[in-house]
Amino acid sequence: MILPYLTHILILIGIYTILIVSLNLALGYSGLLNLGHVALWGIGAYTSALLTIHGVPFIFSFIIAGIVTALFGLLLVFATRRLKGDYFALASLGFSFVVYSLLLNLTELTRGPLGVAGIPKPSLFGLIIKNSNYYLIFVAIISFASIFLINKIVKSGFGKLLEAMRDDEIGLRVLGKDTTKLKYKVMLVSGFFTGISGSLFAHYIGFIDPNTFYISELILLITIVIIGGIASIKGSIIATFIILSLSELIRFLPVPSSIVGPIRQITYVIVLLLILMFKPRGLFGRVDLE
Amino acid sequence: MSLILQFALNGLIAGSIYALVASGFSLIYNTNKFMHFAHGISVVVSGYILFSLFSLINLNFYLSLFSAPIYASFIGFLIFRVIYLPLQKRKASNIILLIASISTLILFQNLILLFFGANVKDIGYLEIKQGIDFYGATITPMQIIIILTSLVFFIFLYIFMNKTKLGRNMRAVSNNKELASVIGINERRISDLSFFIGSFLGGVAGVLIALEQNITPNVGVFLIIKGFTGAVIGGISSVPASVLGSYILGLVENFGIAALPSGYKDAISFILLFLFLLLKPEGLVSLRRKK
Amino acid sequence: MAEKAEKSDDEEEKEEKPKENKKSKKAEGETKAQEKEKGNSAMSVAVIIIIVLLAGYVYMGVSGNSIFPVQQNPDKSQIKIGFMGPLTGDAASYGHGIKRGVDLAFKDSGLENVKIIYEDTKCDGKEAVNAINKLINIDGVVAIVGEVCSGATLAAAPVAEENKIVLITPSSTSPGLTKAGDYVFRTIPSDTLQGKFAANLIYGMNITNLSILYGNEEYGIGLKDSLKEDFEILGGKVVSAETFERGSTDLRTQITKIRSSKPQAIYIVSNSPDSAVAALKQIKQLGLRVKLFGSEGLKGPEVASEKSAQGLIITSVSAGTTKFVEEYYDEYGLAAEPFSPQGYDAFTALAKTLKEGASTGDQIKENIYKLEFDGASGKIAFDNNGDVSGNYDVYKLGNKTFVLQQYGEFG
Repeated sequence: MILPYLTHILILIGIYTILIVSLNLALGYSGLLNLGHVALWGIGAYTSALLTIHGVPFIFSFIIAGIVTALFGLLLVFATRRLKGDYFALASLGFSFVVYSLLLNLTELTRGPLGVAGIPKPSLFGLIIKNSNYYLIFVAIISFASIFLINKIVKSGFGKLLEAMRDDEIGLRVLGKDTTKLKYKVMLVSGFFTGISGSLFAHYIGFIDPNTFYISELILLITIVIIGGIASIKGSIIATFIILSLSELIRFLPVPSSIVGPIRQITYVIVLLLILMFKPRGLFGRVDLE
Repeated sequence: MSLILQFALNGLIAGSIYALVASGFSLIYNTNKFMHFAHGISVVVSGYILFSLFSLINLNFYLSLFSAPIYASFIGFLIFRVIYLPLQKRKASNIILLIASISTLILFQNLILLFFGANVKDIGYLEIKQGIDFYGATITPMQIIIILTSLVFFIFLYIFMNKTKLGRNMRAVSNNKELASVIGINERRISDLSFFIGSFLGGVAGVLIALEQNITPNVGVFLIIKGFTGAVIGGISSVPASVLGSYILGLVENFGIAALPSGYKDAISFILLFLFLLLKPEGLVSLRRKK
Repeated sequence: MAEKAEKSDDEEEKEEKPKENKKSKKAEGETKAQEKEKGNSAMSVAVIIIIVLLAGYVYMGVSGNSIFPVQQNPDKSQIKIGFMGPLTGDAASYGHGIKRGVDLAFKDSGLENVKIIYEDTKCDGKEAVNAINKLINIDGVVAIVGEVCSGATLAAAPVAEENKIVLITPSSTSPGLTKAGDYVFRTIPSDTLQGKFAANLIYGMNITNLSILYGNEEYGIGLKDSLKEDFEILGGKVVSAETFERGSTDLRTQITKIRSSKPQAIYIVSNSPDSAVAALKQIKQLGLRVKLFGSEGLKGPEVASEKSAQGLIITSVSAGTTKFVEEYYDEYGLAAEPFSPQGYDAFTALAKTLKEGASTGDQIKENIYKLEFDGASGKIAFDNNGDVSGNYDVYKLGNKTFVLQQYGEFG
């Protein structure tokens, strides 16, 4: 009885880890709080789900989801390139709202509030990953690979440039580096991994609707990334583990199931407020939020 | 013709509510220089207090009606003291204040959800009657009250901000905080006051919409988004501009769905918000502050 | 004044910047080594955590149950049946009515060693998917009654199909469910039938211009399409069809548009009482004097007590046989609620298969197809899509109660 449940939590942790680390990549190295991340995740999930339902083999849907999300991420950063600080945050929040309402209203494409049901399990080289246990192994491999890659990027020369840009953008520009292009590159990478995380999510749960990618989910993401700390991959991973485990534990409280949702949200925001008040860098953060 | 008039009326009604929220938001923003997204709390708390006092405990209607926004203004003040002020003392950046603000909003929304349940609550004070005919369009008495009440409050606000000493002090702090404190204006008190007044206005919006329609836990989030959008469209750095922008938003929304399927109403405001933040973040009425 | 102040701000910033540079350079030099270590240790931490978890997991899998279980039913002595429906939220009154019907059927079946596990899915697709996964994989149910709302049932159906577990719904009427799967059944007729019935009813009342106001979800869209098609076949015209989001209570825009299309009647499709009540109120406020019709989603206590709804005509599925209504009253002291007879029948169908000795999903499925019995809502027999034929009644709302006008077989 415990076993399938543990599998379920681990799969979710795997999927969210990729998502949070990619958010942190963009946030930690551009210093901009992107509240549009949940919308990008939704775009990745919907892209993969809709493609697969229309017959595209999973491996292509998966990759295309990553690419499409990367492009939308790029679009977002490009459109908001002149905004700073809280204006950027609010514009990116606006982006999330716009995506939400488009998902809701473009019913021909997205089936609107009905959502996309019956998303098929991934099929790779003829093998259908139907069983949760196989799925866990699949997700574990992908998250491990993703984190490895992102870590490599962060450690590389490119990563150093990004840190320099975060710490002193004007100084870097003086040295002749095109910081805008750097931001775009970061967003592309971050967007790609967000997209594949969305794909993994959609194919695991089997059902997505616009409400899946809206405010409550955004609060969860922000809570995790801030608790983990900006610009710390280790922080993101550990925070994902902690918060998701906590979230699932709440389900076992002796309260009616209708209360679980609000209790979760309240827990997230209280933890978030406490962290902002007393430890705004989070557990492992190396940078403050600008 | 009557269809156009009806849409225009609907737009004015919605715009009035948005404008009440936007004016409070803008007032607080200008005085304190950060985005008080948790302003939505004043709307939803006010509505539920009206419900609790009148529909649950059966307190006198007018007593409940007038005390609800007052409670809301206290809550706004509390949020300032308990959440924002400590953060500001720790030199929190605007982003941190924004996240704290959104978090507080979600916190209250869920507390209300826990306490009152997710269903729609009806105040049940007004009788449902056919509205008054106005050249082919229909408007109910309550809707007329909404438009008039908001206009009255805006006039009061204008008089306060421009003709009273306290109001002028407030504008001084908005324009230049350091200078204002040099002159001897107590910043803290002005901030407190801005939260009281702003949240009161939000509270008024809350009772109006509760009476006209109903109250749900989400109404705070819903209206702060609209109010914020209205403020951005008009020009967030000016309270009158925010009011104007909100009326514009109400009208555009309602005329917009004349052509589009009705489900797009909110989509219109989201898209407007996004576009304005991108292209004209200072709003339509960009004021040049002269010395 | 303001401009001068701004300038000095800028100057301050420029002064601070070189200081910051010095600080960060120093910090960088010191922590470069630390950073490298941190980076490496971050990776190792991640690797270790993942390996430990996977190892622990594999260990438990090998030593405990079989590694790749298909269906878990550890407690063989007790058979579990799942129930999914809105026990909270705006459709809760339906959920509870159906639950009471199901519980009564359970009592009447006399089954021992059977347990019903209830999940509150709030008429929501995502909740339904989570619930059905839990019921199947963690609780090990052999069949499920649910969900109540078409959208939620449709969302859960693929999961039932994949796991070969029967999902039988007492109230989801969307035509989309007909082809939802081999393991999906319903004890309520599809709305293709209600659309025809309503179209005939309305047209028969000399109405040729109709407006439809429907919820933007599976149930609303399904019935709207069916009604529109059939009404137009008869020769009528659907002059406008406006939709609203589930739970939305500001429908003035939609009603304004409907008003300008000058219909003679409006048919409202909603399974959210909050929206239905709001629609009725606002129709009155906006001065629309038309005949009002509604689907059985409106046949609830909230609409009944709404003053502006008086005169509303409802097309509804069977409200239960006399025998059922009496028994329901004896048990609960209540008049039979919407869909409770259908809930009763859904559970009875499952109970009959269990009594015949079926114990796995496949066996239950096979047996259900062969069932034929007189249920609480009429004759129950499933066609090869898992659908049943329909009885529809017409009710008129007068003085806060729905009064039966006529009834008839259909389909």
